[in-house]
Amino acid sequence: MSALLEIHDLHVSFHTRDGDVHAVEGAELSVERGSTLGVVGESGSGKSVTALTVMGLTRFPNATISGEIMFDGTDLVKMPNNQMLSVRGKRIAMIFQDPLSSLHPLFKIGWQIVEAIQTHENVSRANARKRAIEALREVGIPSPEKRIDSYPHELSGGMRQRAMIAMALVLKPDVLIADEPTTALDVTVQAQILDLIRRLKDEYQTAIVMITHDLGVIAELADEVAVMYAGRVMERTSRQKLFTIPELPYTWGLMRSIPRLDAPRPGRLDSIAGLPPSLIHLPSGCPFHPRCPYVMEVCLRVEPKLEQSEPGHLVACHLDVEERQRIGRELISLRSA
Amino acid sequence: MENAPRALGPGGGPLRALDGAFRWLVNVVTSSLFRYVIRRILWGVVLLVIVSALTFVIFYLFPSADPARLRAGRNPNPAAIAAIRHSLNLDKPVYLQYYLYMKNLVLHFDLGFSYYNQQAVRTQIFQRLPVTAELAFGAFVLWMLIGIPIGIISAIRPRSILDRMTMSGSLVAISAPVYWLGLVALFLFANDIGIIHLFPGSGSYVPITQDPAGWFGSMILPWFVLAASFAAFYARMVRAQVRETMSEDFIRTARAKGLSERRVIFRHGLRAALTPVVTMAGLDLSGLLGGAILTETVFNIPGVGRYAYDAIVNADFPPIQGTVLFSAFFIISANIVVDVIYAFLDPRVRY
Repeated sequence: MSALLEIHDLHVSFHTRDGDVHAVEGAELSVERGSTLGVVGESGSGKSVTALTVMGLTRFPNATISGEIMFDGTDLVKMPNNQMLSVRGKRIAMIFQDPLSSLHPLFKIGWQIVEAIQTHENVSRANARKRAIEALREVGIPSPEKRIDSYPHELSGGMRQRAMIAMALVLKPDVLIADEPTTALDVTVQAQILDLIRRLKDEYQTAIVMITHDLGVIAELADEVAVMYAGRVMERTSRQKLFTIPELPYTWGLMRSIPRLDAPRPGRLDSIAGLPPSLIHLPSGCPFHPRCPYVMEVCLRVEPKLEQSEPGHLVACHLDVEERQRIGRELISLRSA
Repeated sequence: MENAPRALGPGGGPLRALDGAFRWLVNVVTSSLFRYVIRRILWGVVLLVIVSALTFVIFYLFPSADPARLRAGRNPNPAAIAAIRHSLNLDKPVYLQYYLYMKNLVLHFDLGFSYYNQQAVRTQIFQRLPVTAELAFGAFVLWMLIGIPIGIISAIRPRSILDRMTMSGSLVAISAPVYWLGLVALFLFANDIGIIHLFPGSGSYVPITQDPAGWFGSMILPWFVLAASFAAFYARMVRAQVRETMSEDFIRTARAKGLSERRVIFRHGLRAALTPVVTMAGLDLSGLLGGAILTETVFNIPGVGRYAYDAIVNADFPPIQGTVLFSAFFIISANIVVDVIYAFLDPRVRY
């Protein structure tokens, strides 16, 4: 059975004065109904651009998009703009990082939710309003019949993100793309929002694409994980595998840079040396090689392909499989000791 | 709520209505907006006093000419000048003159009489205000109708031919001084001195009540000349506002909801982008109500601006003070009105 949303060999580049920015280079992703795909990576790894491309929101005059985004049997890359309008918001919805700047500051949240409903369904205002109140109740906003007439600035950060989620889910989309939905929130509120997303996923069997730079969120929520770097998917596996035998040096770097409370405090936090590469002038061979502690001669010349190292685990790395698994296991046992 | 009508006694129908009105009044008076407006009005009055004092000081510290000598005609003798000086109160100390002026203004709303032709300043200003208002409102409508659409279109299609043309054109219009533009317009299109005899030229103003068609014709050139730099400025401002707004996160959200691009721009984009323009427009309009001095002078339109210009040329202090005060009054009032309107347009603003 093919997945609900399947991205195959997606390339997105933007033509700029300084050169072509290759934001996404051959991304491979898929997500099933009722499951969560976590996409993790640093800023500039192409995760947000991939998400916006699924929504058809990167169709700028200077953008070049190729590849396939198969959604329920149709290719969204080839879908004309006017048809895309009925997919966007209705069948694939998206929520964003900062709910304060992502909600219109001059319209009441109820108005904004009603607008979303009436854009896609032919219902009366009163009816749409009733559904908006229901949606607000569903996401745990207290006294929604009052809150519906609040402006975004009158709500707390957590409540705003709940309202955003209500707006995205009120039309019961098949896919919800969440672009760092908890990054701008307090830690306690983060957990509540993640809980809410998980509960709604189970209830509606929505497929979730959770974009984050936070492995904690992945551990919390994801069924499948894709690690992106420089516009490429470099490791793809289940959450369970990722947190027992991670096989990619970049993933190891991400894991090492999570500070620990139980270990003696190191002189400085571990981090991945260097900076994410320029997407205009990519390094030769493996894009991670300038920052990779395990770099070999072949990494400078040949870009590794995403290949299966064992069933259900795809990795793009030149390191020997056994070696990778040994280092991965060691890292996990060290960190969980 | 239950015992309020009972307290008013039986059969309190009208009383109950009165009670409601009273409650409403109490709500308004105790609202923060009301207190804010009152505070602003009081400050406005203080500001007007300061403006009047400053005008007085400036006039007497930097005298352009001696009003008494100007009044005395050719070959004046010192006795005549002294008599005039005395009759105009110019022989009294400045602070006393200021006191007398303010006393008349506050008690009788009397702005004094022109040194030059003895006409009452208040009467003159009230006669000329409608003319200035006609000029200002006409130009206002024109520049909004020209500037805002151009700004929006060039913001939506940046670097298009239309964008490049209008934006460089607007630079020219902003840079061109009104008096130069006015003279060029007359030289090109006036039906007396113009190359193409198209519109009535300078000094052709007739009141709208006398000859509506003639009035309209005579106002066309002044309206366009006065509106030109404003239209250009507004086009640029609207363009910048819209471009900035269209890159906001909430616009991305609107698109992600599946709204048509038209609705994204016109409902979500413009609602946010044009709100500050309202403020600007109110202030600019009020600035012109105090007199469009250059335009009125070039086209010889008998408005407040022309009056102020003549007064300055003749070192005629009372009309100068009167027009300055009116101008300040319009600007201060517009500031208050605009701030109140803004509170309704943007719910984040609270007083």
